Amino acid sequence: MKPRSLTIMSVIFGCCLIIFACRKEINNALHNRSEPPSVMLEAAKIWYLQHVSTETSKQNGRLSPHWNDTWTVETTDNKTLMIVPASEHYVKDRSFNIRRFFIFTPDGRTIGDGRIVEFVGRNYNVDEDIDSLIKNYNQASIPGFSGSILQYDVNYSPLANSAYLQGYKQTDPNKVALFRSQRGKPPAETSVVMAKSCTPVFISYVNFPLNIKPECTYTFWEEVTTNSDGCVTSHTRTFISESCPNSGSGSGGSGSGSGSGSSNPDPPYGGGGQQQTPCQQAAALTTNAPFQASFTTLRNSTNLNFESGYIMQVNSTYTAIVGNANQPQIDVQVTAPINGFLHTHLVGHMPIFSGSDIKAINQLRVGGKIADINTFTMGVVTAAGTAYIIKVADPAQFTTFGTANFTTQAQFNAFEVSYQNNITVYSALSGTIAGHEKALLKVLESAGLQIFKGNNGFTEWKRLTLNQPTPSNMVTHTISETNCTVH
Amino acid sequence: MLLSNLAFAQKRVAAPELAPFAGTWEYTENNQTFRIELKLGTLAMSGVTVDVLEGRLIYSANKKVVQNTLDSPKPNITNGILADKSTSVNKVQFFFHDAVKGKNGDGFLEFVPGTNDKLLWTLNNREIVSSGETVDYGFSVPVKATLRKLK
Repeated sequence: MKPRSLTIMSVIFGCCLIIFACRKEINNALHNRSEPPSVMLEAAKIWYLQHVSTETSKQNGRLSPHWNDTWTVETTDNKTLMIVPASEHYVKDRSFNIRRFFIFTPDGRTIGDGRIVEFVGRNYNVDEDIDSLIKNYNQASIPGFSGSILQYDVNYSPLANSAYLQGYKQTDPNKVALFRSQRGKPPAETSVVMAKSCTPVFISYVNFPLNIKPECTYTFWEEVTTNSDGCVTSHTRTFISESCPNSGSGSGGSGSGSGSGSSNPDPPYGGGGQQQTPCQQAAALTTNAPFQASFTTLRNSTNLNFESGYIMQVNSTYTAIVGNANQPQIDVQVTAPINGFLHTHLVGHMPIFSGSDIKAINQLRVGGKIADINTFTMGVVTAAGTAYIIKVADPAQFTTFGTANFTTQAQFNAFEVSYQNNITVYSALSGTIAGHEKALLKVLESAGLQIFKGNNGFTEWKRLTLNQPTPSNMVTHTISETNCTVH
Repeated sequence: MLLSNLAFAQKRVAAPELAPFAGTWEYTENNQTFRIELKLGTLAMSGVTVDVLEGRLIYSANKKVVQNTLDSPKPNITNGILADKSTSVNKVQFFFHDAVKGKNGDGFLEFVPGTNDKLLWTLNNREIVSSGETVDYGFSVPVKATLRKLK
């Protein structure tokens, strides 16, 4: 071989080595990504280990973060996210294209939030647009996207989901799409009734194999449509994949994305178990740094002459708002759906949620301004030293309740009279704070809402329930407090 | 058996401290006349009866009647109880319905210190959580007035 050829070959070989060694950096540069500072990466690893639960992971399957491939990205609303890929999974139905990641939100030198996010495209190529999807994953519009974005905690328990059609997030309940998988049992063929007055609706199964094996896991796309009364009008499950023990199907093979594709114990898409209960969600707020900071700020603002508050935006940021001076008033005027709303009650005003607070949740619901009714949070810190959050435990029941009590001013006035009468009587029996708590629990007993009381540092939340022994007598009514835990 | 009887018994929460507030009270100034008639009443709910103050009113301005509930079947001053029994028996808080504006409010009646025939009337908005709509902060009756006892 001529020396010249040998030199050329050496140069080409050297270039290949450099390209191979720098493939991650080149890929990041091409996609406008950057590697995270090591301190941020270590903070994410610590946060993950603090929040991952062996018990829940055993139930849901533990999804492993691929820390070595982590990158950071600036979202369209100028927020830094740390993206950690995870293994992808086999998808039989090629009209679905799915990618999943861990997304961590840095908060200074610590991590404020971490979650698993699945991007599900239906007749939409998620792979091609993954950078755009990640940058906009909490936005009300994502150019061209049709599908769903499903969010889970790091233990793969559902947190929230949203559906997009031709780039726009769907708030109309008739277009909500869900994605679930079930493990250890085949999809049940049951009818679904959301409210007593609704007509039963049978689940429609699409493309499922004829032979459903009880030992296998079935991943499927679920779509539920409801009408304005909260009644289910259709319920469809479309088969995506089957994962059976020792069968070789499931993880590995041709994943829909660019994950490792190797045989691994990572679970199928769709998370597992049930969505966190409201009590579990309340407990999770004790380690939510932005929530803690906001609530603490509010606690120190109850002696002002105006109400203060925070809008919990869908991108996990908190926007401060204030009410008018010398009025017990605050305006929750939002243009896009939100995750929640926190505020103060001033000296001389309600030591718990007011009737107007409950009405406001319904107004946000009716106006399509609640991003996910199942995870929505309203909080209040009062000058009486109390702190509460309220969550929607039964959306259909709350729809019925809200329609019956808050559609007209006369209905609202009647609700307030009932609430005030209960306050007067319960307070005469139990004192101001307990009296207000009992009164609120009483008037909301069929509202599909749950009330949680926080301690001074908001490090503990307890669900309040009203015990009403039979025969009913307000004298014998007591409040039970149940500690909320994440697991 | 005993527990069952106790559960059915009607519990009475008496409030004799409310008696001095009962009567007819009036404020007159600048072509305005604001008169309220307060009486002792009860609020009974599910096995409990609580003594409360309740009342009706008439308000005229510039020789026109703005609001008159004196003959209404339901009082629009309700749920009157001592604001803080542990510190004072001279101040009552109540729930108010503005029959003209169709809205509710929270009010206070407090004896002017050193008197037993002058009451300071204060009316406040209840909390308003709005979402962009125009809010009416006003009431159709005075939000602050010193009332004299007529009888």
